[in-house]
Amino acid sequence: MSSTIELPKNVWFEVMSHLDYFDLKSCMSVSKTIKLATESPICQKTMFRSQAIIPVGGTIQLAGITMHPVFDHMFYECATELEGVYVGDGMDILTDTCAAEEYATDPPVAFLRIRVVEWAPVQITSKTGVTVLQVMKTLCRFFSNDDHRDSRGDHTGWHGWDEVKLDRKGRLLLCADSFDS
Amino acid sequence: MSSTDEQKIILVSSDGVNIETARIIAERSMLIKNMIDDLGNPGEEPIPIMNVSEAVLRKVLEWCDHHKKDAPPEKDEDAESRKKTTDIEEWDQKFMQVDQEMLFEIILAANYMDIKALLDVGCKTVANMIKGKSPEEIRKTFNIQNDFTPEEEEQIRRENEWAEDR
Repeated sequence: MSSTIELPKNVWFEVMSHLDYFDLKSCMSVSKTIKLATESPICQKTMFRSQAIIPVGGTIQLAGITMHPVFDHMFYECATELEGVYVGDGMDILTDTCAAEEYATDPPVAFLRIRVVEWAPVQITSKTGVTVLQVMKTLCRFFSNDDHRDSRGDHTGWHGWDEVKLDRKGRLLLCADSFDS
Repeated sequence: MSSTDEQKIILVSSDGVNIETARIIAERSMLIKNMIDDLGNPGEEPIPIMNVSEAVLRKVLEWCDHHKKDAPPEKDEDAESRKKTTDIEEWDQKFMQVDQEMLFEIILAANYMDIKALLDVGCKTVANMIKGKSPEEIRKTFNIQNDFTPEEEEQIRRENEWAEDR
């Protein structure tokens, strides 16, 4: 039986604090009040919008780092343009989704490096925190280098992060998964 | 047992029913605790609980009775550790197996009477009812009106569609 009672805003805020990223996304489309509750400070960590950014050179606890779940839902064939980065079963273009502007990690980091198979790592610096979009932009730029592209061919895929670790200097290093050919 | 534990007080529900209970039970509610502290002479005067009906007040007191020995909550315990855990102890789960009207009434009462631990259990119960549901299912479950314009809804849908098939 549905209730005719309305819960006050502070209760909805509290409810939202117990939900994960995907449930919060569902809640965003329910109603204005509920959407507002998903945007409360309590939910910012879960939504990869926390402002507690780890600065360049800051100490990173690997166990405390969560990768944005969108990376597990991407279809990306080493394209050189962002229009070639798709997300989800509906194959939405990444830049059309709100995930693009969310942070790549939680807590967000101002500096990280990406290593694709055996190539030399590339780095991303963003004082305001590295976003999903910046990570994918960097990968696109990486594959726009003919050397990187040719040796793998056009029919290669990217399957997210094989390994997320700290390098010798304690900086975050994302290692790209193996490629299909 | 100290004398405070045995002390009886009388609460008056919004529909005018007197309910006698132990002070230690009632003081799970910060609202009541503060009223007793302010009034002094506990037990002499009935304490009105303006917004809570008899049925709900009895239910809330049942919870307070079961949890009267719980350690007081730590001052604003770190929000991080609480987050995303929706584990509810068995007794509380059974306690919350009520119709939605009563569930919401309990939550409202816990909110008004300032019983943080009960409010927490209520919110976790609601969170568990949301988990894994689509926006439409959530609206149906809680009888929530969709108050977005079609344009707003379309934009939110476009931005979040990928997340539907987690």
